[in-house]
Amino acid sequence: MKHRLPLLNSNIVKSLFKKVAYLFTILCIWQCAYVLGGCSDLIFPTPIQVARFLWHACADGTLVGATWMTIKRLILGYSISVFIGIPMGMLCSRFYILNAFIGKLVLGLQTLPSICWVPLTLLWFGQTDRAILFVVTMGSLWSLIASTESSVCQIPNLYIKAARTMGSRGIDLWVTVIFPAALPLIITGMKQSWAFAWRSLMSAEIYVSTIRGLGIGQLLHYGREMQAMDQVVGIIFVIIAIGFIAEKIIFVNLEKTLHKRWGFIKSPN
Amino acid sequence: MTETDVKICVSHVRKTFTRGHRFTKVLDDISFSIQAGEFVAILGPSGCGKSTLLNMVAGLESCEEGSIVVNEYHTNQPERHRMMMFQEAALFPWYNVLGNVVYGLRFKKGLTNAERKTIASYYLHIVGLDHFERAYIHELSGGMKQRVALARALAPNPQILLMDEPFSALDALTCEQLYRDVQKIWNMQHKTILLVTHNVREAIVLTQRVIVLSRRPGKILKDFPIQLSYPRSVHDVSVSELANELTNVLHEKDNAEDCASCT
Repeated sequence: MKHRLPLLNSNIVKSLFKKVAYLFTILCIWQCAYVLGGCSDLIFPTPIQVARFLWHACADGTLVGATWMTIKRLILGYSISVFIGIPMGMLCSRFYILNAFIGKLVLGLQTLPSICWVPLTLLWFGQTDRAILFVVTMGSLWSLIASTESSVCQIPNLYIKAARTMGSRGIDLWVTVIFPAALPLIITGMKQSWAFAWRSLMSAEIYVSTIRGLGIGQLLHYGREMQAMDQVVGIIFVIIAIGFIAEKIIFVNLEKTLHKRWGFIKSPN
Repeated sequence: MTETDVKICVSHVRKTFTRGHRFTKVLDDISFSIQAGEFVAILGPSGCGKSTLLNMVAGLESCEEGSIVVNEYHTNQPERHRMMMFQEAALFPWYNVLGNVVYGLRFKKGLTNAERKTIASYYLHIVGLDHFERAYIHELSGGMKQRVALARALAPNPQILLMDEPFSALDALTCEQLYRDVQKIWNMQHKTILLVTHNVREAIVLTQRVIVLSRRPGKILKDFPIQLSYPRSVHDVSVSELANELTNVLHEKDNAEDCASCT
């Protein structure tokens, strides 16, 4: 039996089975809560209603379109943060004056919840895509500057000493040694600021209703306005799924690989 | 020996570290010179300033009092004619083994990338790592890492090799193997090598001359020639005898100081 069904015994199948069983249990508890609680459908939808909404929304293209819109905004806003934040963080770690000036600014702005930019941004940009991008960038930029700066400060001095004895100086030292040495820690900072960007985007989409281009945050908001709880809960699942895939699968794996290769984690042998 | 044969000349070097208002004197009036092709060890207890001295020779730390002349020039920054090995291998994990050795060759003028790779492969062959060119650093053992570091230091063909306790983090068997390799390489190429160590036997097995430093602040206690023939092994009786003698030199000073503090 064992060698006839090797697939069933593989670890991947086992862990997949565990996950499916887990999900099924959650859905059962949810359905039981609905039956026992006796709430109205308007307040508490059943798993089947939510699934039906997701199916229809996928079929007519609204959900796919909105998700694509949201992801585009996220990538654009986050890229702006990365292209400004990482070089800025590296410059801050190098020049004391810049650090003294920007460091304080960063500390202050980092504590400001990104949703607080919404009133300002509506006045500046109106109900446009640019307003949303601005909130996303403001939400993620400051933490990225701060984390990049501290990543660069933490690299082992030995790398720099070794590179200097081999003749590396100035820009070359930054490109070939300091940046790659700090990379695993920079990725950790990027993961955190990605999470900030994602949260900022959701707040921005809920509060800024643009005329063109519906994002999933806006779908969530309209769900509430139309009293469609199945839509609200369905969209929440989509939001969780996107966040999970980006953070826990892409970033965590990238981080693990780099940390292992850079010797932050001891490899098993 | 004529003047021009002197490769490294250290004269009246002192060094004091300042932390806030506290001054710590680490090196006190150090003078010695090393001839071209000589293999010399600086031996001393930890914290005696021997690594600081080596960093100064490398040009990684400034020399405020006294002077260090390498190749008839005052040193104030690192140059590629003297390469350095550290206690930790200090290899770059973002390159593979070959990439690490090539890194030291990047600033050698008049070489194509293919030639750089050929040179790097040759030096990896010398240190016995032919089959590890494509391996990544985290896949290597401690001894292999130091071999790569040795290949990286040798590849640009420096006149001087500075070694900062490169074997102290390795196990005894790996050390013995590396001692054999370093002796072999020195016999082949006769580079000027300055080794810093706190291991008495290591100094005797490898070098022609041991400069013994005292506890902080480091002063030269003795300049000790080792006239044994190569190749040497840590298990040689003559090595043990010399090790005893050198250890006594180090301890005599300690005992003398203890008595002085008693009275």
